[in-house]
Amino acid sequence: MQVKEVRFYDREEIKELERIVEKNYGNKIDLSKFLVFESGKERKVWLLTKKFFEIDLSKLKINSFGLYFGKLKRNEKIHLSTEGAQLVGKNATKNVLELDEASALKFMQGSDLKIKLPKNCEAHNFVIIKRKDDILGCSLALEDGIKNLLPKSRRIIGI
Amino acid sequence: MKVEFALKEFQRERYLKIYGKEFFEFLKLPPQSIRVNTLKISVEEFKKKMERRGWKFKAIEWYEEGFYVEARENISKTIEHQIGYFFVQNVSSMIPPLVLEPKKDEIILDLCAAPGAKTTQIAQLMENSGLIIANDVKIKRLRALRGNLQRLGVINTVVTLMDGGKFWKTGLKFKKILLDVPCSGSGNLNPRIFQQIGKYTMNYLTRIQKRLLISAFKCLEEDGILVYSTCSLEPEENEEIIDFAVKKLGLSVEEIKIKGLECMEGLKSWNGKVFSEEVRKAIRVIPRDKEGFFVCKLRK
Repeated sequence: MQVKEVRFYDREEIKELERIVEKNYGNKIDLSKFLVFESGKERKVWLLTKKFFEIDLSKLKINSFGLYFGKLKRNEKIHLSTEGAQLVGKNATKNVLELDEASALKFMQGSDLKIKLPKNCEAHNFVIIKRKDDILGCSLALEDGIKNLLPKSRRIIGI
Repeated sequence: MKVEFALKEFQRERYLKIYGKEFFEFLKLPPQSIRVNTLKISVEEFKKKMERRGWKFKAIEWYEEGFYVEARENISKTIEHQIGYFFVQNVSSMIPPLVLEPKKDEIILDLCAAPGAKTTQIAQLMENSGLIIANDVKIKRLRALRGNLQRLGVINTVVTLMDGGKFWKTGLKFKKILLDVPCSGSGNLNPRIFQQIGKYTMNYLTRIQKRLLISAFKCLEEDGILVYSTCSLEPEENEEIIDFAVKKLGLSVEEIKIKGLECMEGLKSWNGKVFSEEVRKAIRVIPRDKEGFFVCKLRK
C-alpha cells in the first residue's frame, strides 16, 4: 500500500464515517484525532496517528501503514475489523451479540453459529461479537445465526 | 538434544570464560513469558481474567507489564491471545525498548523490526501516539510484523520494506533508533543454534551488523540515542561492534539502569583485543530463566 494509492478523508468524510458507525452500532466515536484514509476498490478504511505527515515519505518504500478499521459496504454498512470492533464495541448499543463461553470458542475457531438473534441485531447486517467484556470480532448476522467472517489469522486453529 | 551436549568445544570454553562455571547450570530453555498489551487491557484486568482460568503469574521485577506465566493450555491458542490482550515475548527482549525510553509523540526508527515484539512494545510505551517507522528487509517477515501490529491494535506505525544498511540514503534523521540486529541467536540457548554457529556464520553476521550500525549512525540526529541489541552471547557480535561504534564512529556509551535486572557489564577484552573503557557500560543479560541478551545505549 503506497501513500499515493490511498485517499485521506477530510473533516466532512470523517464525520460521515462516524455517522455510519453510529447508525449501525449506536455509538458515536471520535475519529477526528486520527488520520483516516481509504484504500483500494474494496473501500477499506484505516486509522493512523497524525504524526505521519511530519516526515518526508518520498524516499521510503512503504509496505503498509496504520490500523485496519473496517470495510465500507453498500447501504451505509460497515464490516469492522476486530480492532475496529474493539474501538467501537465498548459502548455499542446496536448490532452487538453476546456469546457464552462455548459459542465464543466455536466462533473463534471459525464456525458459523446457529443462534437466535437478540432484538438489537439486524439480520443481513454486521454485528459485533462479544464474550462478556471481550470483543472478539465482527461478523454477518443472518436470520438464523451468524456467518463467521473472522479472518483465518485470528482464528484459533488446532486445539 | 540437551543444550549442554550441543555445545562445541570452542563454545564450551568461551562461555566458561565469559560467564564462569555457573553458565552450565543455566543451560535450559527459559520459562514462557508474556507482555500484557496495555493498548487493549489493563494489567490488573488481564491478570484477574486469566487467574480465574488457572494461569499463574510471576512478576518480572523490573517491568510491570511483563510476566512469567504457567498455564495448562497452549497460551498462544487462546481467545485472549487472538484478540490481542498479550504478546508471547521472551523476558530479555523486553529490555531494549525500555532502554530506548520512547516518549509520547516522538518519531522512532526501528530498523530491523520484524516480527514486531519490540515494535509493539515501543507503541505501547508511547501509548499509541507519535510515529514508529518499522523497517525490515524481508517481505516474509513483514507479514508477521503487520499481523502483530494489527492484532495488538497499533495505530502509530509505518512499515517499510528496505535494506536497513541503505536506510540512511532516505536522508531521514531520528532522535531515537532501535537497532536490534540479526544475530546468531545463541542467547536463545537452543541446541540447534549452537550447532550452526561457526567462524563463517560469525564473520557473515558481524559484517551485516556493522553495516546496519553505520546506517543507523547516519540516520541519528546529533545527541540522539541509538540502542543496539542482540540475543547473542558472542563477543564478536556484541562488544566488538560497540568498540567499533566508539572508536570508529565516535559514539559514546551511556549507563543502563534497570532496577532489579540481573546482568553483567560488557567485556573488557576478548581474544587478546582490548576494548574501549566505554564498552563496559553495555549490559550482558545473564541467561538464567531468560534469553542471553546484549544491550547497549549509544549517544551521538
